[in-house]
Amino acid sequence: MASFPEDKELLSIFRDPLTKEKGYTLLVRKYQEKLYWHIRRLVIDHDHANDVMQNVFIKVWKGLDNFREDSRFYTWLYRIATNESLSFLEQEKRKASVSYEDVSLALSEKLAADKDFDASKLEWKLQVAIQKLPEKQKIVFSLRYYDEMSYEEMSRVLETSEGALKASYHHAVKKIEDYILNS
Amino acid sequence: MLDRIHIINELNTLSPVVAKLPFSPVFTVPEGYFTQFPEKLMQKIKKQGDSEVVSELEEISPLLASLQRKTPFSVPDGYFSDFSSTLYPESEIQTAPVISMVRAKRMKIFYAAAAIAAIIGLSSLFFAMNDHKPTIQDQVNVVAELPKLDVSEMNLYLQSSPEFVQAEPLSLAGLEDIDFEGVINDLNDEELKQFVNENPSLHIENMN
Repeated sequence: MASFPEDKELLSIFRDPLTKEKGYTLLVRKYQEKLYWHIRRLVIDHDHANDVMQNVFIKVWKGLDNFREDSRFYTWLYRIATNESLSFLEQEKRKASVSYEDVSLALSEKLAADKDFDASKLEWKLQVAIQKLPEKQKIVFSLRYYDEMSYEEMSRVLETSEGALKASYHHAVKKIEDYILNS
Repeated sequence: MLDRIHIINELNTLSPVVAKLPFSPVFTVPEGYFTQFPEKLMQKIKKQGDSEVVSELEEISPLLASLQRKTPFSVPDGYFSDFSSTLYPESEIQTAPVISMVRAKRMKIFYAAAAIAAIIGLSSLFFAMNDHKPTIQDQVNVVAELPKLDVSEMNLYLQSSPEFVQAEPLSLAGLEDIDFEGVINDLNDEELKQFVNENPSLHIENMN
């Protein structure tokens, strides 16, 4: 795995007009995979994930000059990626004039349409179970289970109390367990 | 960020079933996606950063927009660095004369005084010309017009022109000395007829 400079150093490279592009490219290389998978788990389709990814990093390019170093760069990126993913899903709902449940169903169908999909495999059952979760629980479960994010960091990303996040995660795990056992 | 063991331990307390699920990625990405993404992203950002003029041109004419926006003309070496010195060669730079502001102020006062004097002079002349008094010529003209007036008009005129009343009355002195008979005798028939027609009130007694 490639090693990247610390966020503080990356930001100083970015803020130097002579090395701005280099700093930005390093930053993208450092965080692109993490953010991509976070987005992909929410929107499922690769092309959609790619669109959202581009929007996220364009916002980062525009907003990085005003980024305050008192907040963590990593959580700032995740907040943008989460908000952009939710905005995308909201647009999909509006386009199709459907509810969140319908979007969730559509996402499950997209999942089933994947060329590697195998309903008998547990890892795919887990994905289906995640798609059946309410939106907030889906995000909390994804950030905790896949991105191994602490509740403190997650509260900064989602601007929700740690207690509420713990409860959401607890409910999400129980629903997934229920699905795995009964499907 | 936590480590994987921490997450699995927590899951074991919540749901051993979920904790034992295989943690393997199910989604795939196109080959080389992460290698190419930063470069493609940078291209997109640069394209977005282009001016509105370029975007507008792309909409109107993609062909024109695809052409290089580089002027094909060239300029002589050092043209721009020498340009300012060719505009104002030192030998041609002339110092503008210094005009004293105090002198200009005095001149303004003089001009103002002259203008006021001219206005006063012209006004006086205008009023003097309009203060009209009858001249001898006017009097002669009036005398010529008198025979055409009737008595009432004559009285009205004399009352309104006292200076005329005070003037010396036209004298008929000497008229009696004129030898009318001699004058008449010198006239031929035509002239005589005209005289009689013009002066019907004259009574010539001693006509031969």
